Amino acid sequence: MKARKDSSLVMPRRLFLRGLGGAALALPFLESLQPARALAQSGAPKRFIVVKSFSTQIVKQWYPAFTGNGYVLKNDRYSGSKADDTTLLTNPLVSGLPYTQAPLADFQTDSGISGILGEKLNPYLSKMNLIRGLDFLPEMNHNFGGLLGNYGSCTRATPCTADELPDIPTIDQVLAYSSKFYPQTPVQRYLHLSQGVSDSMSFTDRGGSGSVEQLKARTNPLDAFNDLFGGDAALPSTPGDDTPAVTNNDQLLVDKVMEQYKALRQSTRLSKDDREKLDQHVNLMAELQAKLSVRPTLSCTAPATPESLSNNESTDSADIERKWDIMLDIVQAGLLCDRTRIITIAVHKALGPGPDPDDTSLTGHYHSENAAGGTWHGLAHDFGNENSRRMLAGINRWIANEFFAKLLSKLDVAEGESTILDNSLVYWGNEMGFNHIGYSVPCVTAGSAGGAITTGRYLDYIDWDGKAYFSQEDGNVIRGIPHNQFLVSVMQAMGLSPEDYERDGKPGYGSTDTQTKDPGLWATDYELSSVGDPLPGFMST
Amino acid sequence: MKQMKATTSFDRNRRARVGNGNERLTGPMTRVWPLSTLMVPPSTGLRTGLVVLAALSGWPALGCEGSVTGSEWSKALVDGGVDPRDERESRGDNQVASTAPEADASASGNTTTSPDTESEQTGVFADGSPIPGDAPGTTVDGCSSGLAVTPLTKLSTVQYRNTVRDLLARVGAETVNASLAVRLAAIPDDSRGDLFRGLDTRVGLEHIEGYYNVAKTAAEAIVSDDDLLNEVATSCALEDEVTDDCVTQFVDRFGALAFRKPLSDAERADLLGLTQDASAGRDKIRAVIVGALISPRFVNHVEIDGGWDGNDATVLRLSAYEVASRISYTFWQTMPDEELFAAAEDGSLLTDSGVRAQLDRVFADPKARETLWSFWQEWLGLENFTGFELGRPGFAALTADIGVDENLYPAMTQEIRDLTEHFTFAQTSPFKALLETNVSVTKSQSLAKIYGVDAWSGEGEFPTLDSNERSGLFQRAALLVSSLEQTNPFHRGASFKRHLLCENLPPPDPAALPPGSLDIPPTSEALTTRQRFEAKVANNDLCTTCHGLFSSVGYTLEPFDAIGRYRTVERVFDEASGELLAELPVDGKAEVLIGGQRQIVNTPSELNSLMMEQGNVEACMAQQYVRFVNRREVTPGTVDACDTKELARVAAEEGLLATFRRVAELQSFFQRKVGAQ
Repeated sequence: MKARKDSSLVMPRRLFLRGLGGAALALPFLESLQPARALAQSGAPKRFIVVKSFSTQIVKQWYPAFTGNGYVLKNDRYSGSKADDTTLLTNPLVSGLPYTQAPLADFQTDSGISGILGEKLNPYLSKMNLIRGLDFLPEMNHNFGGLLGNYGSCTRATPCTADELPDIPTIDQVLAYSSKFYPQTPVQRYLHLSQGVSDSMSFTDRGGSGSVEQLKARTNPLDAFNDLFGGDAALPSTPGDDTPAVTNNDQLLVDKVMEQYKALRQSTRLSKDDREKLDQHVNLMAELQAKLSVRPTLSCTAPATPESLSNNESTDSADIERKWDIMLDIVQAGLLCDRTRIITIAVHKALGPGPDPDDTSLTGHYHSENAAGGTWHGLAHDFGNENSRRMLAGINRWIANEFFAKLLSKLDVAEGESTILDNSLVYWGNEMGFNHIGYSVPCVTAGSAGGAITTGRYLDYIDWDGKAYFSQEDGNVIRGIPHNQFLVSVMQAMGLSPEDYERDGKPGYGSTDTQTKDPGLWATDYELSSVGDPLPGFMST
Repeated sequence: MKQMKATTSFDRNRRARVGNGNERLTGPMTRVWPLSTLMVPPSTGLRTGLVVLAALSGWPALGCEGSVTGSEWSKALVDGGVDPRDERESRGDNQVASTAPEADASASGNTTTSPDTESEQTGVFADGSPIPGDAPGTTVDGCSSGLAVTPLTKLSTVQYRNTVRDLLARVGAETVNASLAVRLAAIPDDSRGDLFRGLDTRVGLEHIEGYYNVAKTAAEAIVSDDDLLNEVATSCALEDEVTDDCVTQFVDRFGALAFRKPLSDAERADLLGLTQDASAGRDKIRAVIVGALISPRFVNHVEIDGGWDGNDATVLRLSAYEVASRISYTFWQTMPDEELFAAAEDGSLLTDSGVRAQLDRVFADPKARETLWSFWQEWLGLENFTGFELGRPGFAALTADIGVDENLYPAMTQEIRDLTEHFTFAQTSPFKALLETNVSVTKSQSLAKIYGVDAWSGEGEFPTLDSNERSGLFQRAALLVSSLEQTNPFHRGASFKRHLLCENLPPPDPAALPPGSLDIPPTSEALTTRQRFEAKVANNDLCTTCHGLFSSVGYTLEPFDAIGRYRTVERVFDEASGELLAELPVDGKAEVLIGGQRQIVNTPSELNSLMMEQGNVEACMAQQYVRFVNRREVTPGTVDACDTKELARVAAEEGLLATFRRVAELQSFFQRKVGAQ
């Protein structure tokens, strides 16, 4: 093997090349890395699953508006925009801070806990959290990676001031390249799923080995399946079969092709940028090579190979439902078989009511950058229209009842003495708060990450006695808590420590720059001395 | 002169391979098949493959040139004008020099017409013919920044898929393509965030892993089938103890097609090296196929084989094979065909006449039409439309007399394709003719009904639209439709300004807008759509500053309803019930700002005329086409900007086909600017 002296290749390729050739072949891959810390109390692995919906939620339908069990509406205490018809919480979350909480079960009715969070979530209320008051501090708009910490990733159709911020990896990628989260190289570090829009919410620097790039999502269930079970770089699916999926010759072959890349980058006829691009290719090939060498213990039977269902921009309801069903099956199997521990799902397509209020059948909806009238995105720009609000609520109710609840049901299956859901953190987030504004961005979690998180609560981080700057679309600009602290909570719940994710010597994760927001018009006076801490009262003590 | 240059080029290449100093350079002759002999499987057409044409690898065609002393080498450097960076590369200053791509070795394909050698010193080829293409600045000024950098980019996903299919077909393995469909589909589609998918040059693990899966699937399909293996690699590959000659011949043949150029010695050695760990013949063939298909030369546009421009040490003049690839990928989105390879091999692609001859052929091929359709489709944003809300009572009421179904929008886009193709290939006239035409080419009964004409039968004269109602390409239904029963003048106006006039209209900043700003104004029985939208931004400086730039363009298009049908009366429907609420007169008169001038427009046709006169639509189209072709933004002051001007001129004076071709007749097409080191 040729000497490798190319210091510009940041990724420690020797790690990936371990096990290649000779006696070293028998060594488990990356076995020398630190012992697992991302294990749940039961010893089961932790997982991070993200569901993203778009164009926010309708405030009055998203949060409980419940008045039984001694609860009253905020209208009883507040006036003006603060009287928003949602339930008033009075129990302090932690002493000395203006945050409140209540058990989710308190709001349970036959139709769920809110207009959107419907009855099919009732069985999981004890494992869920509903969080109110998470604020994006930078000036954002529609975006890809904000809910996972890359705030400067507004969509191309809606550039924003936050685009001026440098891209950083989203937290799923911080986890994906952490040896604490993955003590051994997985079959697949992550799986990103979507329908329609193929640009994912995830941005990566592949463990610090290059510039930050946006990742693609799988839109065809067969591709997702192949990533986990059927790809040539994946593994045999028969339990107990420890035969490598590919011959070791291919690892060597890839190694030799990598030498071609390295040789090419020596050409003086390439620029620095060209070389960086080739470096990136080499790093990716090193990852491919690593995947070719992975032989994890198999404890499951792979699901049947799904048919190929190509991506499209249609709103065909049968196509949408069918794909999600298959994808959720793959999610479940992928986690059961431990093929990956990180999954993101961008729900760009969903079912919901059509424009005729008298027609109870559901139709397909697609949220893309296209905000034309009638589209899901267009409906969100038609907030003053009662019929549009009805449809928007219906779309999100379908996501809650028929998608998110179904996902939870597939995760709430036994794993030792607990369930996969118990050992996971499932995060349903959104790209923005009300009316394209990053205040009080909707958030639901499920699972306790193996006991790291206390569940079953409605947590409100808004200081309701604080200043209401203005109100739009039933939402208030009142200071909440930096969303950054939620990111910290997730990473710590997954077993990481600040030194594993903090950047540039700054506490926490993600930008806290309020940029050009006028303090007279916007809440900007956040307490940043605790921005490196988890959300108050969120973690288990 | 010519012979001397060929010799020095050869010597320099030999030094690159052998090492430094004053070594005596004597290499064995290397057997290489010219690409033109490799276009058909050996078993069906083994031609003169075994005839040595060493020239293709940079070796002298007529035998070893002997030795060169150190002083001769120095002189050669001076004579040849070799860039010091090439010298550094050639000396083998780094450890991988022996495997480094040999910059010039593979460029010429024929030492007697090596562009590298000749152009470095003289700027013209040895036969006195000019460098292909017109020099920048010959027709327009303002290129003081020189060529824009051409970065190393991956094949677009479309190009990658096409190339795999065509390569396998070329070696006689087209039957494998059916089993590859799923693997090819798994390569992520490029996004069209910046209008054109080609501008998405990102590479992720999904690409790299996808390339591997495609390569492995293709290779294993071939080697597991004796007939296929025989077809692809000849019967010698069926033997368990395959000979070195057998593998070498396959490497030369398959590698040259995959790399789209004859292999250099180093590249040949690299591919042969992949077979070292295999023993059986079919395993060796498998290794070569997999290795070639995941190599950087296959999955990227690598343009490093030409010589440095004599006038600019940062500019490379493309090799003949690189020109073949540029032509092919630009206009066909796939690898060069046999004739392009042949034209590269004989050097004709390095002459104006040779390029012109190939362009004639290239544009006569249906693949060119597909590429140009992609351009129109992406530029005009035709893929963005998400469909009509067929189940919406209001929309159903609006279209009850038309019979709208899911086939209508495809018919609308088909009309755009037919129209643009007609004015590109059938009718040679300035671009303006398309922009002003009133012919109707649609064969769709529904669309014809919307236009109020008969559907075209497919032969004879085209029906004509009422020119008092609509004019030209931009006022066809596909560019006017909404999903709902009502139009959106803001979207229409912004789309026309952004896409068709290339104006930079920043989207609204939601953080700076008052409540409800982004909401659609509710339907009213008393107000037309225009009146509702006007009222939404009236008396608010925050809104009118931006809306003053584009909204009035949308108002002038109000004589077209949500399906692009001309109207003088707006029918207002209840969206939920379909009830007709009101019939209100349409007002399409507005003062618009186009080309920096404000002018009253009374009708859509007047808007179209004003766009033609003031909007510089040709320049916008040219700019978008240059972005599409070059897969990069047009930077002011660069040759890209001047090329844009030149294309705009051709569009205005000569027509679309000439415009689309012209990009390959400009000198920049044959050059590559290397970015900062």
